[in-house]
Amino acid sequence: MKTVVATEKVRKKRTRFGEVMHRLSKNKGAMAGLAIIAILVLIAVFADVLFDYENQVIAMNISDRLQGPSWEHPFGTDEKGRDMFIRILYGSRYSLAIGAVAVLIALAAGMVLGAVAGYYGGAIEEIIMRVTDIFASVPYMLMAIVVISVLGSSTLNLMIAVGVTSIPAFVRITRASVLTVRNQEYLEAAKAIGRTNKAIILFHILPNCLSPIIVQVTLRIASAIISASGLSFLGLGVPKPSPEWGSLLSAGRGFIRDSGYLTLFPGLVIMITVMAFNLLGDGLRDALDPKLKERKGG
Amino acid sequence: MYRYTLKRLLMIIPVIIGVSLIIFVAMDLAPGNAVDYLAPEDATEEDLKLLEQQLGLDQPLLIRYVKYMGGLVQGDLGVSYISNQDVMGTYMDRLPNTIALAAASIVVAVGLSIPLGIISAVHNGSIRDNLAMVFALLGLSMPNFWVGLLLIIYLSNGLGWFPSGGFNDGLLSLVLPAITAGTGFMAVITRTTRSSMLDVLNQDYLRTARAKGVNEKTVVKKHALKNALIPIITISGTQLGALLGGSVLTETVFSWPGVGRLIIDSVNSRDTPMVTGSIIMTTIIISLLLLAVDLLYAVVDPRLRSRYGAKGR
Amino acid sequence: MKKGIAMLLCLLMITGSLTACSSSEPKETTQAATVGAETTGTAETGGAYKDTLIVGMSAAPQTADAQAATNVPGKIITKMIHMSLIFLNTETGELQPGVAESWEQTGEATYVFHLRQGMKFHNGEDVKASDVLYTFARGADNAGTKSVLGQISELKALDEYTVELSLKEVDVDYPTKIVDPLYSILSEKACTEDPENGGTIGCGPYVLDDFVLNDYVTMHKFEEYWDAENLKTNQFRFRYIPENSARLIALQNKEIDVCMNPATVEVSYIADDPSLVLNQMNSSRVFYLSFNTGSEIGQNQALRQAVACAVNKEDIITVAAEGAGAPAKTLWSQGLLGFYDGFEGFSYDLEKAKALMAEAGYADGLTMEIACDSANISAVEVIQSQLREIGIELTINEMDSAGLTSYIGQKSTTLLYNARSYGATVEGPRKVFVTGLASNDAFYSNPRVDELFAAGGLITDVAEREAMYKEVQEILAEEVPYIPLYYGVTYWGNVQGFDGMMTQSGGIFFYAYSYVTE
Repeated sequence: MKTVVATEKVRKKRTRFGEVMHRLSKNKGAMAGLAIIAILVLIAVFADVLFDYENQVIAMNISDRLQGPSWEHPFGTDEKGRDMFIRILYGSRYSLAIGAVAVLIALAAGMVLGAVAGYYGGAIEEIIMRVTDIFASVPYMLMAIVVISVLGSSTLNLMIAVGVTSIPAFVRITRASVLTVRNQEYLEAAKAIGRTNKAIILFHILPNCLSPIIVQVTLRIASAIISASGLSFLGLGVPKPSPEWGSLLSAGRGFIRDSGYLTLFPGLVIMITVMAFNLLGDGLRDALDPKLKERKGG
Repeated sequence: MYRYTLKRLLMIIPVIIGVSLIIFVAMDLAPGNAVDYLAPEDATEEDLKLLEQQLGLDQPLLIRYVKYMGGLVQGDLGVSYISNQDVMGTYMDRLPNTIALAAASIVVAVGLSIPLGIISAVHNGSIRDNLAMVFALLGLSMPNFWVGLLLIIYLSNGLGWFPSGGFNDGLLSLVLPAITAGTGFMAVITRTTRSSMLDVLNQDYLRTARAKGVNEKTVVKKHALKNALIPIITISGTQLGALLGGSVLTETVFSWPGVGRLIIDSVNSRDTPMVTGSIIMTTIIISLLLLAVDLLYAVVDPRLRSRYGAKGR
Repeated sequence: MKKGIAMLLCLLMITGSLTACSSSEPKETTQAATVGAETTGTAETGGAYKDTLIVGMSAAPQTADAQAATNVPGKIITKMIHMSLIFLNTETGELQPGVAESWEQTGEATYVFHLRQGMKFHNGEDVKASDVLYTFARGADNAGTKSVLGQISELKALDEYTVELSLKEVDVDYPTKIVDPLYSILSEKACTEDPENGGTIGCGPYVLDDFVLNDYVTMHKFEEYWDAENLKTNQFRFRYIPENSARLIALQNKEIDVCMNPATVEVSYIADDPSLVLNQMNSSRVFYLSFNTGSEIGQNQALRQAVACAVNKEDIITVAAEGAGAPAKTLWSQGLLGFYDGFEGFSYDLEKAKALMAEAGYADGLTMEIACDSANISAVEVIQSQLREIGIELTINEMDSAGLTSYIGQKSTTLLYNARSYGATVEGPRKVFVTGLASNDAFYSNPRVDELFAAGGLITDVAEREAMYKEVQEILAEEVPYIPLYYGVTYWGNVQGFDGMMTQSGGIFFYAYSYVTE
């Protein structure tokens, strides 16, 4: 019995995965997004190899300040004489990490709560969903501001603040997906062979409701990067001298008229990154939604 | 239906209690309090204690919270630590500005999104579809405050078309803030319009209409859009809810005296009654708005009405 | 194709920002010429004046209650609505009549004030001696006014328009202290009738109309003000515009008449615009680093000296103030009684700094924390990079101002970046240097310094006082609990034809007599 269920699942999963990838690869926007994200991740991973943090990223050179774009400094230098090109490339580390970790925090908390609520139902569900409603009813930016005021500003706290605001979304999505698979046969089977509730949620239910969550993760990373830049603008961003994009953009705003490149490049990089995640997310949504395919076919 | 409405209204109460508790505790945990903000640079230890007493901040958190809730039950949101003004009054002064901005932003967002969504649905899978979607994503992808600053520099200072901020010039002063806040919501609404149009365009009655020789433009305009509107209204309603919380960044850039700006200024000055009261009011308004959207949905779509009715019974 | 449109947009934006860049080239030069040209354009005709003058402020006033408005924007508002017994003309340094028409010192620590007869509050009541008594009693329990009013031992009305004020101890600076708008005279009747808003009714030149927190304040001319005929503007509107660029553009668009504190990087836009005038003033604001001398690291004097030698003030001024500032050697404001910086001190010298580090026992460097207000983050970042040169790794703890104030109070930071505006008397520096006083961020204690300040408050001979304060500053320069960094420059821009504004000590601008000629 056990083996039958397992092989059945693997076969189903592989074909579905293949199908999704096939559909995704036909979506040019999503592929462009994926390519951009891949490049950014590579830059972020190898930033330490490419650049010397101490001497190239944070060291100041006051005599070289506010130089416009040139061959030597493709994106110019900031008001402290630091090369913007290097800072922006290096900053991918912080911005992508903030996006990813914030969403991971939200995902971990949201999936667990949502799965528990959906699986057990009853009073537990009621309590979890009501608390979720409470958190969801405070506008997210205000929530993040309050969280940072309490915790103080640091990179980790920024991730937490941005992450907390995404928890309700993940709770709701996970719960809804769990509800749709809760009564399916293979769960009965798993229960029959005596698996614990925890194991059932973890190994049987969650893997089967991943697709809406994957879509949500992609889109939320994008909004987390935007939120982080907004918080930087309000002076609640990552501590200096980290070249997080939002803080670069926000630091350059004093110079926006005379030295527009100081905001232009970080702004464009944020825009391109966020758009890449959104295109990929939209593409994934279409690829993962079989209904849409039928519709297109019909 | 009535019971459903009543149930939803009653649900607002625990939400208020929860929200107020969270904000109250959070403001207490934040480093510093209103005294640190109010006290002059050279205040002595003794002065600070005195000020703390005057504001009632020397009492334990629980007592302050209970007192606050006592007032709340009677509809009293308390008095600002900083300005000594009534919280409700201050909030109500700001609310019309926020509503105006939110409404204008939604108009901008919907006004741009519906055409984009229709274009991309009608030309599903084509270049135009892709272009429309990328354009819709632009507003979402550019940090809000940057867009705002660029608009001020080029359209206000450069071309002199609009005022740079404030709200003294009537509708004109709404334009730039509304574009800044509204474009951020374009993506969601365009996406919804597109998928709901796709849904409708493939339905049998439209095929019949086409078969009968009605031209495609009329099909889209007269039949499809009308039927695709419900999800668009719903999604716009929820977005409006988000805007009513105050677009903090837009309000800061344009010195727009709205609720979001009020709340962040109050957080900075640790004005707990003002922060708590404003967030409670915002929560209530958003909850009511979402309820209204749901009810509207039910009125428009009879199938749903019966569902709520069944729930009620 | 999607990439196509993205590229197109990028191009559009790049061209947009490049035009912005190129137009910036020829700016810098004209700036100096325009600065200080504020008095031009004031027509003698006395013809038409603009009815409503609009001021754009960078920070919001908290309240219009004279005794509760403790921040500079708040005092700018209360200075318009209220009036204190005495007025200080900062240009001449001379005390002038306010609510009190005249006054005299009748004993070592006793003053008699003769009130201006026929002066009225905005609610129509006469200003009487009883109001002075009431006002000072009301302020005795108030955090902002308590310390100065607490110096009073007895206050009595000699008749309806005469007040005698006696101090517990001699304080030669007392009349100058009560010039501050915090000590404005309030109406007893208004305050008792409406305790919440009574403090917003004054006897000053303008009557408060609307006070909308964090938004705007409006007021109109008080026709019964004793000097109303010299008030040229009928209405004032003070707008809070937090974003620097937006505030400046509002001035360029003529949406406001005065733009306070434009960003230093952008002042050239005012200087270059023929319809605008740029003004600047050396501010009384001193920026400094302070060590927590009670902490393990902070009590190490050689280390403090090492840091003082490692800090390059010029670079900080270049970055944090766009070059608009003067390096400070002493934590005393220029022009304040006793100002002295003729000593050697510890100036920028990396070799010496490294030697001192070794002497301090930190040859291998160390890590320490620095706390600052987020508004000063740029300067702190420069200091962080400078101290890295001598092996000090700074962790920056950036806070909002309420958070910072409470953090300083908890003595939890090793190093602090802060700024302070001194008023018109040595009370400012006294509170920073004397053991246990409120503004002593360094928790510094030196009996000799305490003694000198105590003695200095009792004597009137200026030369003698100056000698005492000189010694104080020499001691501080050697022991380095504070590292003075620079004096800020205050900028403001206004439209052509604006004049009549008076600057007051402590960064307060007095707008009542200002006007714009049409």
